[in-house]
Amino acid sequence: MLKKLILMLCLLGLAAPSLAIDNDPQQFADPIAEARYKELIKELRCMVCPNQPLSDSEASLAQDLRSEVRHLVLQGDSNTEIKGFLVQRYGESVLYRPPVESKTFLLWFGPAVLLFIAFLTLLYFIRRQARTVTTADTALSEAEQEKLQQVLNQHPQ
Amino acid sequence: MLRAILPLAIFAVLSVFLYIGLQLDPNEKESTLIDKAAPAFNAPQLEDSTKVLNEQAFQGKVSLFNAWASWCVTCRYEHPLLMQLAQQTDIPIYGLNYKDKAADALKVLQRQGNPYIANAFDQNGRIGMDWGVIGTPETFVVDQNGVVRYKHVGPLTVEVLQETVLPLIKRLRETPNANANAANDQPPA
Repeated sequence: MLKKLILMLCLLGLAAPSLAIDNDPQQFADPIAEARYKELIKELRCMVCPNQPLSDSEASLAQDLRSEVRHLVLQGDSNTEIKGFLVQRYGESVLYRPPVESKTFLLWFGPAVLLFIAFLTLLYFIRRQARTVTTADTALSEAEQEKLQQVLNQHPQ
Repeated sequence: MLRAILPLAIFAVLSVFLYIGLQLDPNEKESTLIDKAAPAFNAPQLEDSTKVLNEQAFQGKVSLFNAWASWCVTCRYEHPLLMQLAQQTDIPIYGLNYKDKAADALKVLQRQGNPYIANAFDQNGRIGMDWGVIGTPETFVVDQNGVVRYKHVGPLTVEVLQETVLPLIKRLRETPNANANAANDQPPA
């Protein structure tokens, strides 16, 4: 019983990180605004630890930026305006989903182009393979036919 | 023949890309401020909170604007170089005391010397946010028209000063009338 209790208490410790990382966030009265805020901080990069979105980062700058985004959402700024605010300060790399423009074409469409090239290559090899298999020289010559018959005759079933 | 050369060619192309990739620093981020007017701010001075420091201070001379904090170990490492700059050159250095406690910051300046003409006391980091500060130390070169010309992320070193910052300051000083509009014609690097 005691062991179970201790185990439960230990497991409870594991849940600690799931607590909000912001100490004293200003609450949202409007659930739509809250959803918008949560969506935004998932799409914005924490510049201190570039592989984390703002929503996951405990860096002090991320905390500041979260509260700034929260403030702007509460103030009624549109998503475009809020992203603009951050891009103006930290550059486009703050966006996890960069806008489609001439300098990001490669980023957006490069993988699809590579996949297409890979597909064409695959097609080329499959075709070539098919051609070599169906060519006549895979058929047995007369001599080979004879030999085959001989062998078959030697071992009747 | 193709069968032998093709994989080799692909490998060669890949190697070139990977080699270029090795030289790139993924942490190097472009500053969006280059060739733009210094973001406005209005902050109490660290040394005397009854006085304010704002971006007007940069007018009329090429200055350095150095973001630092007492909790920042790298800043302490950079500090002696700033002291040397302040003592041996006439380049004005302004500080952005970023997310710091005034008492701690003043203690550092007392112990290590004060290279700054004045410090903007940015307690909650809001000014730093407007300047796109990601982590201290960061140093901006602001020209005599109040236009940001360069940003160095990380501690200043002798190499950075000799190869980039000092030549840039010299050039900016020699062309006092290269105004912000002329700079804006060129795409930011």
